[in-house]
Amino acid sequence: MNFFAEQDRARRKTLVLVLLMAAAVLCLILMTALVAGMALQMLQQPIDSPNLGVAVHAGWGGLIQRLMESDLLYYTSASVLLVVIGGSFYKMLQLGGSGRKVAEMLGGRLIPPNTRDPEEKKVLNVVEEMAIASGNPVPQVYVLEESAINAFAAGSDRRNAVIGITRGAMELLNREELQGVIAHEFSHIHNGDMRLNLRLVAILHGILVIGLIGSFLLRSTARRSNDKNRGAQVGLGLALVILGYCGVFFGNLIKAAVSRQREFLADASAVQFTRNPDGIANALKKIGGHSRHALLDNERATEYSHLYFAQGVSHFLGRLMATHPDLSERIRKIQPRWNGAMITPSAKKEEPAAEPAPAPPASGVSAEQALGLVAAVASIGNPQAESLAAAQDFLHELPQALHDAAHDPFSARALLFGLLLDKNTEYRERQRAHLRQHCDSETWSALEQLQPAIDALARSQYLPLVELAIPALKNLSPAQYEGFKRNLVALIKADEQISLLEWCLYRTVSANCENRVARGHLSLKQVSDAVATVLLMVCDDASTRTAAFEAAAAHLPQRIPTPDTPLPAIAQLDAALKQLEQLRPLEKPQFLKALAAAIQADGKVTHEEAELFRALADCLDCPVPLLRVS
Amino acid sequence: MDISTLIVLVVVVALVFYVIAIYNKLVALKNRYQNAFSQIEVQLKRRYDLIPNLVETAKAYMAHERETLEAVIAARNTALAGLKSAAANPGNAEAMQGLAGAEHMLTNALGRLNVVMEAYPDLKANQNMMQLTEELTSTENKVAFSRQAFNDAVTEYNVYRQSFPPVVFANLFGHSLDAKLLEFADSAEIQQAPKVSF
Repeated sequence: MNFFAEQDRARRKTLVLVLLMAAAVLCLILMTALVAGMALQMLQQPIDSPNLGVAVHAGWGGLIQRLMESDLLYYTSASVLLVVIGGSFYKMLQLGGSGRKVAEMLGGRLIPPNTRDPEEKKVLNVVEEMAIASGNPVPQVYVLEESAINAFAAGSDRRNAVIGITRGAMELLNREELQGVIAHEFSHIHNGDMRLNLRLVAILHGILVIGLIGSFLLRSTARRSNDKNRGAQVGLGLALVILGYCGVFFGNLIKAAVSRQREFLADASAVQFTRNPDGIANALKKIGGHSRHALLDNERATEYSHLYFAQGVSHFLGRLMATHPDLSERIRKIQPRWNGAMITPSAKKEEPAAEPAPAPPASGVSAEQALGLVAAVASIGNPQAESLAAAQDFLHELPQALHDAAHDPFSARALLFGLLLDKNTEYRERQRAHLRQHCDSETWSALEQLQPAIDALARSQYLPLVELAIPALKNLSPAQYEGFKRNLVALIKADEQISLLEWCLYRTVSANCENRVARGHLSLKQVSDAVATVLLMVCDDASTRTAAFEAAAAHLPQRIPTPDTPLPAIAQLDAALKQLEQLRPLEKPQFLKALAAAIQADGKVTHEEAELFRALADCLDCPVPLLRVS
Repeated sequence: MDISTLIVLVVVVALVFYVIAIYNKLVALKNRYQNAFSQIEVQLKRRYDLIPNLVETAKAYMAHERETLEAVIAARNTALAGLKSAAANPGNAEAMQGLAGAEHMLTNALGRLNVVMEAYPDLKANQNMMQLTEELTSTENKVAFSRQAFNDAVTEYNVYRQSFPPVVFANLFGHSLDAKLLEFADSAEIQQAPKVSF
């Protein structure tokens, strides 16, 4: 299961579906236009006109011929097309964009990162582990006050994705099962399912609007007293209703079939991620045994039916229209020897110390379990269980004070400031002087408190800690965020040069908090200058350059001659990043593989190289798991 | 139907979309400030949880200052109730004022406690007490910070709601009132023991 191939396949499938839908819409338009045109023609004739009789007796053929000769057909086609496109567009606007909107429309409430409710904390911890393990920014989590067991992932891409979970799921599932459910949701994020479903739903809605217009017409004829026009209007309304709802029916069939397939894929990815089929299987069994299964009460639940973990709305046509495969079928795919018994969940109070016991921690054991560079590239978007273990170790080794600070918007800023403080005493004094002047005394004292713990951190913990702090930083108001960024920039500039680490930290924060979109159509050939700049950054000195560029050339479409320019400045790196963000999606793994090869050409992976790799991948919207530094 | 009617139709449809976008933005901004309130809630709850511990520790040393201690507990309970009603309805004028008032009373009660504590140096030196007062201060800082974020979000909502053209549709869409900012009296001065001069 290759992340990029999956995304590409999802995209291509969308294209095919869109074409199919377009063809269906075109037929629909023609038929509707024909019907509308005929109705309008009939309306134009008075009911007792001899022409009407002539028209009818001349047969449909004559009528259609006359229609085609008039302009009426084109205008009706145009208006029907407009209606369909308008409807689709409206739905795209409503459902698309940031996942927060969907969560809020479903009545979700944001869980604050520094919550003290033990159940909410459990969910946040599970989401954090999975996010760090798969290399994604930690998404915000919303809770739906429903008793059923269900979850969803919403958002147009991994940066603005949010995860929602019902109150029932929080209370009735244990940690293992929660892991399975959240892993399933992350798979949806990785496989680009959200965007695919969004497009399907939008197109369907456009077709639905025609049916809605038809039913509106039907309803308004009840009030009309004008007999002459009534027949035509009823006929038109009826025809529109039939056409519209037929279109929607078949469209829904297609959408449901696609959605079901993606659910199986997500289940399989989740099992691979957690390497624990029991977790997700038991969650499914509990849903099966629950009195309300996964059905949601919210009246808007139907619109987002494709987003949930399990069937969230029941449909009278059941099997055909279901967006999720049958529960039993899903369980059997995960556990082939299942005996068919569901679990009746009970809300017993679980022992609070249910956090996973870490492997015996020696210094740097998390580094041991992290993946080597090549393995990490191979598992982009397809996280493995080793990454999960590494993430859990990282979270356990992190001092509690720093963990708490990363979850609070107020102290998360102090944390970032602390990470940027220079080792050199002169520069450090300059930075501290700036902070003392520009932040309030409370932030200053928070910084003073955290500084010893920050200084004691291992280098490999810096970037993951920043990623951990992202949800709290997202809770800053825009004004607070601007002030925070200004301070960051001032701290970075204090020593008059920007180090790679500073650049990586800053870029990770800004890319994630500002939801920068990294999508484009450039090929590697068009950005070879940018590629060369980045490759130069990972070469320690001139002697290793040739080897690095040779190694990278294996993955690039054309040889880049080894430049003999000096090490690029950070400004050039920034410009290169802007270019690279516009790479075509399938070219991104090529670039990352080339970079990985270049880094490994000298036989060792330094901290700076690992950080640069991870930060670049994050900015390019590719989730890279924790890396091992040799 | 000629071309001009078609154009009019397109323009009308575009206007309808625009109005829908206004509605969505009003809803989004409202949700944003309601979510921002939850940050304040977390910090205030922490603060209210610390106070009973503080009072218990103080009781052991200040056996005769019952009234002061009871006043603190009473103020804390009122504030907790105020918080619950405010959390149910963030931005509502009454609820915000209620919470602000209760917080003011609590800060006053804590201030009086501080004054009284001056007479008990043993208590001030007690490790537990020092830790609790330290945590209390840090929570107050966080409350101030999250309050600032909430007020920013409320201001954004109010400004958008009052600007043109949303102001035309605001009432229609059920956003008829401005959200109220949360104003706490400046607690810093009250915390300091006032200078007693003769």
